[in-house]
Amino acid sequence: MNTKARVSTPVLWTSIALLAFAAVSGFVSRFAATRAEEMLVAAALPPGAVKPDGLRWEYIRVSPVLGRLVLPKATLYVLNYKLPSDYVSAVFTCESDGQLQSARVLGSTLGTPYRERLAQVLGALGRGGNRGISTLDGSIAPLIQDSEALLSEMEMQRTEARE
Amino acid sequence: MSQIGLLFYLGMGGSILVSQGIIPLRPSHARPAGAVRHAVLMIASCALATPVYSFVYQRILSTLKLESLAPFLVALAYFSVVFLMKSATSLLKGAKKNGKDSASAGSSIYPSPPLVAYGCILAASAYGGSGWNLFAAGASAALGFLVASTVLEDIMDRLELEAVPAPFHGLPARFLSAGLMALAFSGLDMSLYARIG
Amino acid sequence: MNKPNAPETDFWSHAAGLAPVLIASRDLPSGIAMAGGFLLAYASALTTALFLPRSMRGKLSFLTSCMVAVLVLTLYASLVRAIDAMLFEKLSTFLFLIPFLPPVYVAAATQGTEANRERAWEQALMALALAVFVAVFSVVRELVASGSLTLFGTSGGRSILPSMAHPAGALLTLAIGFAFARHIRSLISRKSR
Repeated sequence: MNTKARVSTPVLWTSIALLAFAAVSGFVSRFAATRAEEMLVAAALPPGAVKPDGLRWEYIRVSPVLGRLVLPKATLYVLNYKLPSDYVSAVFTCESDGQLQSARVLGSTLGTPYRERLAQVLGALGRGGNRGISTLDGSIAPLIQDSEALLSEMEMQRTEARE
Repeated sequence: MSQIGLLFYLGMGGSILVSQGIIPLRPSHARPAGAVRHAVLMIASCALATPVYSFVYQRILSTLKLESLAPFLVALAYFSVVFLMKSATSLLKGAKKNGKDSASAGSSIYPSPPLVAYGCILAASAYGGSGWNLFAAGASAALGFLVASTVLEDIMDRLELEAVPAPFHGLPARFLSAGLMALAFSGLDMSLYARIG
Repeated sequence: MNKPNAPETDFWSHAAGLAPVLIASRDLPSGIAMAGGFLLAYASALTTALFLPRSMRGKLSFLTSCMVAVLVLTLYASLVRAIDAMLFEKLSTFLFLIPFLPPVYVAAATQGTEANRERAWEQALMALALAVFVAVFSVVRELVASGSLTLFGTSGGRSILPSMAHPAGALLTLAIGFAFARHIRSLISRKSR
C-alpha cells in the first residue's frame, strides 16, 4: 500500500469531521459542567437557603467525596456512596476545625432499607438525636466513621492552606 | 457499588459473553491456562491504566470541565495501544509472516482485547483510587473471570445431571448460577467497601 | 467462535452483553438514561459502519464507527449532566462504558454491503427492543427491591427482595426474565398447535 492511498480524501475528511465533532463535544461538555456546578451548589445548600454571591463549587473527586462548597462559617461536602445495593449522595456540614456539624441525604430517601437507615443515621448526626438500633448499623457505622475522619482531615488541610 | 465489586461482576459477565460467542476470544484463552493468563494480563493492564486515567480525569479533564470527553480519550488510548501492539507483534514476527497476516488484518483489531480493555476502562474510572485500590480492582476482575470460566463451567456440567425445569435450561441456568455466586461476593464486597472503597 | 444462536437466545445473549447497563439500571431514571445512551451509541455505530464510503471498509470503518459512537455518547453524557448533575455522577462510569460494550462493538464491525444495509432494520429493531428491555428491567428491579418508583414519588411500598438492587440482582432478574419469556413462548406454541 502506498502513502497516497493511506491518506485518501475520504479518510482525510472523516478525520476532520471527527475532530470537529470532538471540538463540539468539548464545548457542550463545558456548558454541561457549568450547569452541573450550579445544580450541585443548589443541592448542597440547605433547602430554602438563599445562595450567597461568589460561591464556587470545587470538585475533589476523592472517593467518596465528590466536591465541596465553602461558606463563610462552614464548608459543605457532597459525598457519593457507591454501595453494592444503592447509590446514596449526602451533604456533610463541617466547621472550620473539621468538626462535623450535621449531615443529610440528598434527594429522596425512598429506596432500599439500607438507604432509609443511612438517611436516618445521617439525619441524627451532630444533633445527638435518638436513631434507634438496626441490624444494618454494623455496615453503616464504619462507613460514617471513615467519612468523618476523611472530612475532618480535608477540612484541616483546607484551613491550613488558606492560612 | 464499589469499583472492586463491579469489576468482579464484569469479569464474570465477560466470561459468560465469551461462552456465548458475543465477545470473540481465541479458544486457547477460554481454557483454564488461558484464563489464568488472561487474568494476569487483566491485573497488569488495570494497574497500568488506573493511575493514568485517574490523573488525566482529575487533573486535566476536570480542570478544563471536559469530563464528558473521557470515553473519547479512552478510545483514543485503547486504539493506540492496540495499534502499537499489532505493530510490535508484526515487527517481531518478521516481514515474511507479516505478509500472511495481512489477509486477516481486517478482523484482527477486535479479537481478544475487549475483555481486558473492558476491565481496564472500568478500573480506570475509579477516580481517586489508591495503589491498593487499583490492585484490588484488577485482582477482582481477574477473580471474576476465573470464577466464571472455571467454577461456573463446573456448575453447568453438574447441572446437566439434575432435573432443571425446561425454561431454565442453558443460558438462564448460567445467569442464575452466576447471579448466586455474585450475591455471595456482594457480602464480601460490602464488608470490604468501608475499608478500601 | 461458537455456532450461531437462535434469535431468541441471540436477544438474551445481547442483553447479557449489556451487563454494565443492566447493573446500573437500578431505578427508572437510571434505566431511561442508560437505555437512551445505548440506543444512540448503537444507532450511530451501525449507521456509520453501513454508510461509510467503500474505500473505508474493514479496519478503518470499524475504527471510525467506534469513534462516532464514542463522540455521540460524549454529547449524550453532557446532556444528562446538564439535566441532572447527580444522575451523571451516579452513572458516568457506566455511561462511559456503553460504546465499549459488545453489542455496540458488533454493530461497529458491520460491513457496509448492500445485503447488510437491507438487513439493517433487523439490527435496529433488536437495539430498540434491548433499549425498551433495559427500561422495563429497571422498573422491575426498583419495584422488587424497594417497592416504590422514585421517579413518580411512589412511596409506602414494601421491599420484596432488597438484594435485587445488588448487581447480582441484575443477573438473577435476567435469568428469571429469560426463563419466563421462554415459558410463555412454549405455552403459546402449544396452544397454537
